[in-house]
Amino acid sequence: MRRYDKNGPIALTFNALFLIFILAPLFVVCWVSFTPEGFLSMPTTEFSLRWFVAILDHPEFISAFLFSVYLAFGSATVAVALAVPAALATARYRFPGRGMIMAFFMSPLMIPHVVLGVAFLSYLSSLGWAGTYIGLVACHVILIMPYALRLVLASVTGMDKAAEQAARSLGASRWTTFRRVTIPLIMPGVTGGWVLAFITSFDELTMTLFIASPSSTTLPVRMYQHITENVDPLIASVSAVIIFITMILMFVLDRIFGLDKLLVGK
Amino acid sequence: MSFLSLKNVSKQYGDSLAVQDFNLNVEKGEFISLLGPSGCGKTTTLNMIAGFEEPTTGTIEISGKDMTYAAPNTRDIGIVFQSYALFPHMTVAENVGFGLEMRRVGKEERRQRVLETLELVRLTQFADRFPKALSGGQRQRVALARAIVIKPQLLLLDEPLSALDAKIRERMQIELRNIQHEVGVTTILVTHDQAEAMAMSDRIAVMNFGRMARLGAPFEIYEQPGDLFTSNFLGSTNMFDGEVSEQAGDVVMVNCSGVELSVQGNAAKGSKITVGVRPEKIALVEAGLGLIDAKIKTRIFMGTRWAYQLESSLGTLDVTLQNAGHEVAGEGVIVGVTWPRHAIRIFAEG
Repeated sequence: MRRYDKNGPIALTFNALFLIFILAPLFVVCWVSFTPEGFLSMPTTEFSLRWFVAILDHPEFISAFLFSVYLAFGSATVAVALAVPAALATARYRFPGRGMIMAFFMSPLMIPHVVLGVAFLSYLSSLGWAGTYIGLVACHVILIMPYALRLVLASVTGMDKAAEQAARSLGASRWTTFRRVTIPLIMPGVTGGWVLAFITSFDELTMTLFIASPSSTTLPVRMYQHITENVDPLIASVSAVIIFITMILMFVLDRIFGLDKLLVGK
Repeated sequence: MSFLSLKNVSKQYGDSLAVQDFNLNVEKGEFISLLGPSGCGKTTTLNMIAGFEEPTTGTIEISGKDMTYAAPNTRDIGIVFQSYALFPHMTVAENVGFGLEMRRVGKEERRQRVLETLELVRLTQFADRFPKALSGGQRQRVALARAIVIKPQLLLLDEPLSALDAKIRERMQIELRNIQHEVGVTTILVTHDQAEAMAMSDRIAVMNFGRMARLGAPFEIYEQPGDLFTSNFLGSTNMFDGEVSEQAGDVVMVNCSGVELSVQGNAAKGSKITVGVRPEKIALVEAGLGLIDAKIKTRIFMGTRWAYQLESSLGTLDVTLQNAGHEVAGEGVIVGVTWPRHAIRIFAEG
């Protein structure tokens, strides 16, 4: 009998090449970060941690990192808090303007971030919110909303509505039903949406470049500013640290929820 | 005064009427089935009783109180859903205890009652499992336990057995019926399976196109279906169109494709009517000794019975014979066909 669960040699080669294509740049960045030289180079004989130590001489990178985490945390939380009612309403009810609301929430995906950046800058300035945490959160929420909504929506659509009816018939009020049944059942989508929103917010550069101020600089913005002035391996070591943190985070998430499930929202 | 009464209940979705002028009175402790094909309005009716939907017109009363627009959590109704609708993030015991928790029953009493109910459905040893780890039949019983542990005044069953395979389904029918008797709760079952409805109910309400087609005890409506729809839905029926050629007392002679059939009932001479006889009421005799002769086209052995298809001057006839343990006439044989006069019925004139 033929087995269909094994890849043939061509498929294996393709998969391997594809993985290399994806991972090679990350690998190169990590490799470069161990150079003893003062410029970007691939170390061959000597390896050094000097550029990792150098990060400590640049507290602005560490504070930018912390600010990025703080911003991504707040933005992802607000985005998910808005995505849950939006997903419940659009998935459950047919009402006029339903399609429009969905398109509206999804529209940031289609607008170039540069355009959003310019628009938000003038908008925030007129509100007096330019460079403030609230202003940044507001803009990031709009940007990451589609990601949060997609995953929450997948969960809500896949949920058995009868479970809520069962809870109601057993005497639970609307609010209790929402708290005790609906939320736990859509939790995978909520968590997945939150993680995806967090990553997207953390990673965002183009738009944030316009609206960040010196006191509210995110890590991508700080890194970008750094390499526009001087190209040294510091940027590689910072990247290596981020890659390392991300790997640990992904490992933990995979252990707790299973990454494949998390990013599908089921 | 009935325990549950639906008065002139209608439900309209846009332009279509899902339920039309529906009237039903259910006595305390009774087991009633709403039976009909999909889209006949039976689930909509159940949803209105449960409070998940509001009737467009009409009223629903439960033990004398108008509950037409009451919220579902105030109706004191236990429901078993087709999909079971168990809470996947709670254990079996937590699922069953949910309704008691909502009723603020104390911890110790709750534990006691959950245990008793799990005993009733024979699932005590599964109390700490999650629904995922149970089989279909076990999940079904958890759903039932969750619905009855609150001692509801009304139990609604929405196609509760349709997701189970045939053997378990039959066992569950008996079990469900026994538990219902034991608990004594007034029960309404929604199903499209006529065998299930007949096996379990005190009375059956046959529904078609949002209307009640027939209401009565299973045997009564099977034998006297009243209309063609009910007759065909409850079991297959051989139907012949004909014209009344003679009328004498309560017997009429009907000419169906040249064959004169004598039928009990009333119909004006010359009127066009349909008569029907059920496959199991027909007997096969030697050729020439029956009402008409027919040729056996197919014969299928079904274990407990034989299913025949015959060619006759009346058209194709379906016949089932009890398997009495000896060989019966095979394909190609010409046989005589007969039935007792009271077995053939008159349906809508047309």
